[in-house]
Amino acid sequence: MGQAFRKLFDAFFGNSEMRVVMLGLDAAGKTTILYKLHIGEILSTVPTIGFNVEKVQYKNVIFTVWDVGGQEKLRPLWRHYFNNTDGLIYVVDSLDRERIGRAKQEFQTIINDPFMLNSVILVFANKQDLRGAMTPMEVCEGLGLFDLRNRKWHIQGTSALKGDGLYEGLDWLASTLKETKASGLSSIGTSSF
Amino acid sequence: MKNIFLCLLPSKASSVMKNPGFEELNMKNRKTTGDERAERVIRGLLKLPENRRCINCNLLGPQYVCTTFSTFVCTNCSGIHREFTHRIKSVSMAKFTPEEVTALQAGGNEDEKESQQGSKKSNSLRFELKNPPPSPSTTRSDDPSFKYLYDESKSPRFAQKYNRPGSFTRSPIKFEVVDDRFRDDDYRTRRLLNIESKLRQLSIDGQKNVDRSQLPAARPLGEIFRETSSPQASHSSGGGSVEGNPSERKTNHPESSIDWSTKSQASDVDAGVKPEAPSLPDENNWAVFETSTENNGPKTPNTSTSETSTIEVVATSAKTPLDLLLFELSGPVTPVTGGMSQVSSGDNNNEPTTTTTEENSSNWDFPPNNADAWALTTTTAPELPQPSHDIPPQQAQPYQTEDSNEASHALKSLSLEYLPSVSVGSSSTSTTQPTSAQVRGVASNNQPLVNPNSNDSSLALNQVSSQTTSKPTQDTRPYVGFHPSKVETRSSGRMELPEPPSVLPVASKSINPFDVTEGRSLGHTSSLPSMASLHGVQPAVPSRIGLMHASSIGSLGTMASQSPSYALSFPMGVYFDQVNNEVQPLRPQRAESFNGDLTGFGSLDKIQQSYVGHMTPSNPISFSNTRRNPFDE
Repeated sequence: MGQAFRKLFDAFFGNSEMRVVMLGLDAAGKTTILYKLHIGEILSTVPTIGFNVEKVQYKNVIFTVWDVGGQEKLRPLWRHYFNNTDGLIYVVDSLDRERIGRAKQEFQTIINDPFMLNSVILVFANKQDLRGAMTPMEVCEGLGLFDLRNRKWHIQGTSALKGDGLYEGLDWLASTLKETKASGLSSIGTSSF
Repeated sequence: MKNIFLCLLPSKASSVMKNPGFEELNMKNRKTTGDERAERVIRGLLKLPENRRCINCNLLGPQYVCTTFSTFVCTNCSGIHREFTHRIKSVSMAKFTPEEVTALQAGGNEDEKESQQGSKKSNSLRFELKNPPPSPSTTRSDDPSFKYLYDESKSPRFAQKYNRPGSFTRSPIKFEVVDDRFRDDDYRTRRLLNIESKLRQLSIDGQKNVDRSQLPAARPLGEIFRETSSPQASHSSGGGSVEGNPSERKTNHPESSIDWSTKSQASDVDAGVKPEAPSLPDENNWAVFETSTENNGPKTPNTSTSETSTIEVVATSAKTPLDLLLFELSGPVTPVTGGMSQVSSGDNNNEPTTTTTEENSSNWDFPPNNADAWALTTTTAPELPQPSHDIPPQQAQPYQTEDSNEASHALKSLSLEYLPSVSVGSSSTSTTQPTSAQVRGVASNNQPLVNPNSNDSSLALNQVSSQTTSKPTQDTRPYVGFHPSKVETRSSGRMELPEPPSVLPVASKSINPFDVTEGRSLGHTSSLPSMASLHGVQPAVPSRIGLMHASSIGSLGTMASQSPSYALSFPMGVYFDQVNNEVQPLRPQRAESFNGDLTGFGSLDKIQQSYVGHMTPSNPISFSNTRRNPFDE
């Protein structure tokens, strides 16, 4: 009863929920981003084994963000989080030029998964605060984002430690979510640098 | 693949998996089998006693590998490593490449502990510096990349860590072998108190004979050194024992003192002209004591870590360099003291060394007076043992590298300069600070004597430059000795401010993230002041700075960490020359031992370079110019 009431309430005020899975190679900053969004603090994180899940409310959207560990042997498990997912947040360590190729592989694997075909793609080019980090454009090229067709994607340069870009990304997610609900998929990619 | 396996054989764990490993090897090199085997190998390595505990916090059962350093770390420390962009891998959840496995077999925690004296250690030290809870203001300004890490995020984060029940309460300073450090602090404070009282007595006696000052002072210093730096000191001593010289130093303080005194006499002539003369002999003696104290370090049974490693050999070979280092270290002290307490900075040089030391010790006792001073003490104190350890091996390397690479790595040299200041600061705070200026003078004096002996062509270049410059340095020596206090105090004041940016910022920036830690905390406090003082002196001795750069460049070549000690000493060229001459017989050993480290760190260097490249725009080009100048001149 309460649940139903709440849903009504949310619908009335335009609140919506969005299930987001946040993936990326290990040490990309996924967990840091999650808790930066959730509690606004920088936690000292340890490598995630398994997952973290938190609800993040931003504007009128409640994001349920699943942050899944990104180490090699955990990556095959990512697909178990794909089902019924509205959006993908793919976090890239912009400083890690060595593994950008690996990141691309994993990324392509994810977005080509049947369960992810309808999900919008938000790429966080994280660690922009560090000197020598790849620009979002470089990350974009590294991931092959420009080759995507029929996908909604957006790349956002972020710094989890500073909090830069995180909410801009959520902004895009929220607005895109509404769009996609209103209409079908479009093949437009956007980027903000 | 076979190599990997062979490497594994000596380890205990290997026996268990030996057979399957062989079968796999013989059968086929499938990727999956390779991964499995790699994991097995690593799990075997985890069972080795030295790898049973996290190298950083000593927690039992590390489950992560820091592939940057080839060490085994616990979960929490792995998280911290990640913050500093070190690559870490879970033993369970990551796949290891054969290269990583071999690196781990060659490395491991034991190797890392040993090599902490050397280049590797400097990196970890930087960790420490970044991490230690103490003063936020002092630590972070240098590296923008890490800046906000510390500034914004660090305080809450660290508070959490400390609040946590298990892990970090034990080891506030995470990245060195924490146990030692804690011990060190306690011991050090106690010792300092004792020393202080003794020093006061001495000061009451008035101007002291060298002998007197030596006897009372030497004892406590040695003890302090031992205890503070016991693990590393043991390393150095172990090295010394290998060569056979260490025994002399351990037992016979007088000998070492005599040697130095002879040198110091030469310096005395110079000093005699100037008012510093009385202080000089004392300081020299102090320097002697320092050397003896370090040598004493080996005596201490504390050495829990392996003493046999090649690094130790290097340290032993470098023990003469150790002396030099000690001198150098002592030099920077004055600036530090000035920064810490306004009390005696001006007095240090003029007054007899004992009084100055006393003041310093007093500062230790009453750090809380100045928040800044407190921060300085806290930051520097834990590091103290380590920098001294680091330096000897580093020095050894520079010699080798000097020959090969003189011109390369101007940027690195900058970073090196920066680093050295750090080590100096720490060392200075702990023991004999007043001596540095005169020590330098002694070194310079000695140099001309040594010069004829020097064989290496590259060295010859340095020597030539040093000789040409050496006289100016001596002349300026008085400036350094007497006035320096003023200058340094100024610099210390500056240090708090961003003031010295013109020269120093370069160094700080050039440092890579790893480096940053050390540089940051110490750099503001100690290193910068010394540099600032240099600047202040610059007009009088332009050539000197040029020398430093040149020499530092040559030595720095491969290792950024090496440079610090050299950078500290103004007449770097002189130091090098002396050291080289003295050490030459020992060289080959060092070279071999260090080569391994160097190669291991090649990647780090690259990182640094890349960082440097980024920094370059901001870096003062003047550095490159300056270093070249000496040669041109």
